[in-house]
Amino acid sequence: MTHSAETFGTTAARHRRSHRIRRLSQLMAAGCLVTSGLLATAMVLYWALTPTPTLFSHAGIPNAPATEISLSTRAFAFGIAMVPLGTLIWGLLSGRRCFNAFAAGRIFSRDSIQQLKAFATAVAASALLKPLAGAALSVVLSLPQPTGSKTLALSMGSDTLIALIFAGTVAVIAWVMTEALEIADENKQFV
Amino acid sequence: MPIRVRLGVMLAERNVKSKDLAEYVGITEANLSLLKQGKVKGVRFETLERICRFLGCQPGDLLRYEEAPSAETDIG
Repeated sequence: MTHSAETFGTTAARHRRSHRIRRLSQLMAAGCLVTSGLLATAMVLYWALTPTPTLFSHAGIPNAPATEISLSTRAFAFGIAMVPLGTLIWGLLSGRRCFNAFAAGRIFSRDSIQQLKAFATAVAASALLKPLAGAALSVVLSLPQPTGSKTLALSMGSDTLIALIFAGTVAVIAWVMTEALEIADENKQFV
Repeated sequence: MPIRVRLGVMLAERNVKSKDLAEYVGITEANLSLLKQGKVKGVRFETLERICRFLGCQPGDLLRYEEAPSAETDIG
């Protein structure tokens, strides 16, 4: 293969890769937005429509009351549940901004790297907040219960650990991208 | 930096315009100007090859190593 043919092959492969990055990033940006909307809607519907015994069962409280919990308790519980979810949604929206930058061809930019770091931080924070919010929910829901039935349920599953590993992976990728950005900046000074 | 770029001298000796060289090499006039002033971090072999072909010279004709004056002074 001649030098120019080799250069052309590299350029063509790079063009194809860049096109793939743009297309997938557009899909990912849309996915982040849709997922954010769906998660928030699902949470509203969950706390508005789910029967009390199911809510208590999900919160890890063994004895559900015979009557439905009040609207204010549901609203308060929804607020608590929204803390980890809101953090995750903030992360997804940061991820969306990052993917939008990739789709626009701004791959090695400080802005997109910052958004990627924010996404990783939000996923990690959400994973850590989730068990705490679950514990707070069990207390809030069981608070009106008679003495002896009040519950503090703390659960930590493999999903928390997987979310933390995922967040760590994204954070490391973001740092690697910072290194790549510096190399790209240096490369710009070559003629 | 002790490496001095003699591209300006080479262009003047051959009476070649920067614009024509930039067009042949495939770089912007702004980048060629930076190269002439030695204000770049490096030159790609591909760029060097095209400059040499256009000017009919060797890479060594474009670059000179000049010892920087030492900051140390002899005492005694």
